[in-house]
Amino acid sequence: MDKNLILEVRELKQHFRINDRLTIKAIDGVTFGIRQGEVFGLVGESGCGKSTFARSVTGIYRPTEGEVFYRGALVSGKAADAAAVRQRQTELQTVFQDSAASLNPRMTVEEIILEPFRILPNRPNPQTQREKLLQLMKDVGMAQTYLQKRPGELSGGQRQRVAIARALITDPAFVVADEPVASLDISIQAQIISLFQHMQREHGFTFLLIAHDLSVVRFICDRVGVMLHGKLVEMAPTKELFSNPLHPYTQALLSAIHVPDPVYERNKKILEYDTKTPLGSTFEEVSEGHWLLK
Amino acid sequence: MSEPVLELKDLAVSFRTPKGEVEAVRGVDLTVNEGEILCLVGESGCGKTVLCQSVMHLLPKYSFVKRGSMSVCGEDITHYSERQMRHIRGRNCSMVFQDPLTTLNPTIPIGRQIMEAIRKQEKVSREEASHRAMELLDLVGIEDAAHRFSLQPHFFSGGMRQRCVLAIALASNPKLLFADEATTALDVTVEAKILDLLREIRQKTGIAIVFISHDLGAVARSADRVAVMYAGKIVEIGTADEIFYDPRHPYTWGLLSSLPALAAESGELRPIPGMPPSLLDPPPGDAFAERNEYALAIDYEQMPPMFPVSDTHFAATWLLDPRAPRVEPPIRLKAGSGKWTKT
Repeated sequence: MDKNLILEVRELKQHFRINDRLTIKAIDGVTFGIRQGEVFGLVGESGCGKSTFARSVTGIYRPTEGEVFYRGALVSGKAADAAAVRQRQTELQTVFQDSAASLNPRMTVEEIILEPFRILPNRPNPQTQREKLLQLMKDVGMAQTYLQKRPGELSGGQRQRVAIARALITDPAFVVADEPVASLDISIQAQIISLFQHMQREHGFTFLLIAHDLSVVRFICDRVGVMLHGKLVEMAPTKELFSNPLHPYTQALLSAIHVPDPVYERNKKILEYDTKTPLGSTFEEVSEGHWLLK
Repeated sequence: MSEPVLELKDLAVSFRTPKGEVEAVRGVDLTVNEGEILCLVGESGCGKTVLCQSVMHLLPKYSFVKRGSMSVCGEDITHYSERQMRHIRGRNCSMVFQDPLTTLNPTIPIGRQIMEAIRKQEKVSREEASHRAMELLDLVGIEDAAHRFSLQPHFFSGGMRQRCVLAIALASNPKLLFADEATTALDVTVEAKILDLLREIRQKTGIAIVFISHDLGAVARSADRVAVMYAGKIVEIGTADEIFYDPRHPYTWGLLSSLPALAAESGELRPIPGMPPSLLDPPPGDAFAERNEYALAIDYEQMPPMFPVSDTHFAATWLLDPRAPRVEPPIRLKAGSGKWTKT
């Protein structure tokens, strides 16, 4: 096994049983790994299972089938390594899409950002915590006057900054961000994306970014995986994927990205992909680092 | 020259709030001609939606038109009553909202919802109306309309629902359609199809469309003309090519350079610093001055007028005044290349 993998999933399946006749297969057999220190982008249209994947690997959902490994140790199912599960708990942080729902409205910004320390087995003393807090507030571009405010008094962009600060306060090794900019304005989006990029370079954490906006993914990610119907259909380094997409679905998805350039847009042809086409079953490496579902 | 479908003259709309008067729209001059697609872009809270809703008279009671006038198809509707507006809505102008889930009634088959819109405006028989509804479903690209006619909205995907909403908006052949973030909630592939559909409908019916969006990519695909709004005012207006390839207002520069799609090659994003000003107490000068690195001293004191750049292109920035220092835009977009270069 590749030693550099911080997270690995094998044949991961996450099914939701609605009733006797209907089971939603949100994730249906996904196998891949995320390397230490890389920025991995997971893209796909709504309903393809991106968010479910994030929830399965972070331990919010219990996977139906398959295995999740964190730093080489099994963290899913009954045979899970308890020490590894705890390690994942303390090293992994999540930023959710809806910052209004993910911040407790009755806590102040200071309480929210310091809360993750509570689960750390060897947390720093209050003095160090406070210093870190002030440094992070500066890093995410918020004035100290906000520390005593509550989420209701903040704008969407500011709330998302608080959520990011909360995720980074414990110096996590792994950050999962589920559509962190989807609900924000363009200019604020740009601010948050640059912030992520800057923080990732500074702290060097592994970053799983889930997004439907391909231009964001292209801008920030090292490697990209494309999901469709709960399966990974293609995975490659960002440059390779954008210049040489092999799966027809990836090609259709890339052709639909809007480019803010009227002449380009008018001449562009959007490729069609019938999502009812049956998908292949083998995920193969077609060239160095470029995987394709055949 | 075709006749203007929508004409706004120095329109200002305010809200009475417990904290004081919020000036959401602060003097907008805008003309939309027949068969034209005009895109309104800007950050949230800049007054795009309020502008459209004030024309439709859909704003709550605590809002009021402070000054200026608006006319639709040559008819001044500034002070129309609710009763008078009922004849205008649907017949002269319609609106499509952002969320196709909440605009449709979940319990009524979509065919009947479209028929309702037709029969409210015209006295036609049930058969005639259902026939017309079927045609509308065809127009908005729903296949197998006869079968889907009697299905409730939950049988449809988001894109199809937005098509149905569009069919209802088009039911009584309006001259003007407001599409308020009509594609924002949809996936990219679906969004592209809806945008193309809007263009196609414009071709077939000659309807004028005011398309609100904050996605400049979608704007580039659909717009004939683009108006950039900031803090309740139009700061730059011109044809799509003029706005994208020859932007003159620093705010437009800022918007374009904060797009990851254009920054992919250079690997550097240049977000606009800061936040838009509060409209409770708008600054006396250029509202963008505080976030503008090119701001001149006069920007803080006096509002810039609209300077003409060409016959169709206007921008409200003091940088265009002959006395101002020459400033090169920080980035330049080469037509058809899909990426910007630093200058």
